[in-house]
Amino acid sequence: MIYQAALAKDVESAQNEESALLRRADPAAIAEVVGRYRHRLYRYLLRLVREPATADDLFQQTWLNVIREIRRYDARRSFDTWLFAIAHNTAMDLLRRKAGKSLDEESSSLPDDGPDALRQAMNAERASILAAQMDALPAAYREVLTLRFEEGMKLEEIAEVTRAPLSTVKTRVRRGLECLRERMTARWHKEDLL
Amino acid sequence: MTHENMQALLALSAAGLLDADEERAVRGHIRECGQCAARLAELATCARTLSSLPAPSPSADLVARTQALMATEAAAIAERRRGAVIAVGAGIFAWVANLMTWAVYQLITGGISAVVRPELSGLIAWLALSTLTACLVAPAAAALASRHRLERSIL
Repeated sequence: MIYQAALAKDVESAQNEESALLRRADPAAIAEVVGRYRHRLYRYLLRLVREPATADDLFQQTWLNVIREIRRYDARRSFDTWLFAIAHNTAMDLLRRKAGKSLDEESSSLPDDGPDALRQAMNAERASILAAQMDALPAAYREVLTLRFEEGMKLEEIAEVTRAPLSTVKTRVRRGLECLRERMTARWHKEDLL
Repeated sequence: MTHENMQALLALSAAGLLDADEERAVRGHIRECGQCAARLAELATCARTLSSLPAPSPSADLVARTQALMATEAAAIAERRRGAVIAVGAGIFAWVANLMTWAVYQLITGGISAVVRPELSGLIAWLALSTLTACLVAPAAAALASRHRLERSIL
């Protein structure tokens, strides 16, 4: 309990630090915050839009919006959630403008850490198949799955980012995971990966 | 809960999104239902694999370009903010200075009583004129300050 309280305090102070760095608006402070979030934010955007070129544009636009909106950031809120909500809104604006266009794109994968070579290879193969199948899911499912499983966000945080009711987020997670299971199980069984 | 209800909870269980009571109910059900146990195992494998998908990275060039754009935008925002402060300050100064001019004029032409008990129509006209002057001065001051800073940055 004491550990959790200390951890929560650490997280809060780290988030205050990020907003303070961005408010300072000097290049070194900006570089530090972008550096901290670059992998997580880019992964989220790429999972959402699938096209690396579009994800690049959104990455830039999201950070520009962050610098424009930073004065409105409420330090009592989670910085992560606020940042991903801005990324979500930026992506939704773009998707609305591009409505009707196909956003199909192949995704790459690397081997996962595992206890031995065979297991590592199986994990990598399984991840590779799953990443490809994930791309075939509707954007709303891809988004909640990446926020839940890759970002480790809670239900409430996902709802805040996606501006959807909790019940909708739950339904999307359930359907997304069920869709993946249906598509994956047959492939994994066939290739003896389950 | 029925078998169908339980099936609907399996994905949420694999995602770690059930409350304690629901999770207990699911655990109790899968001890007796092989079909749901197998399904939950498959969902859990999907969830584990999703958690360990490799993270794509943005290129170093993209990150550098983004940082440069942000620095430029931050400077532009600060410039706009400074401009707004200068405009408001200059506007208030112009307005007060105009009113003071009126007060001095009244003092010279009509004495202290003209300042204390001014003619209402004259005062309203002067207030309107002061406001108009302030509205003209404010953007002009902001533009001049901005131009001055630009020249200094070039030199």
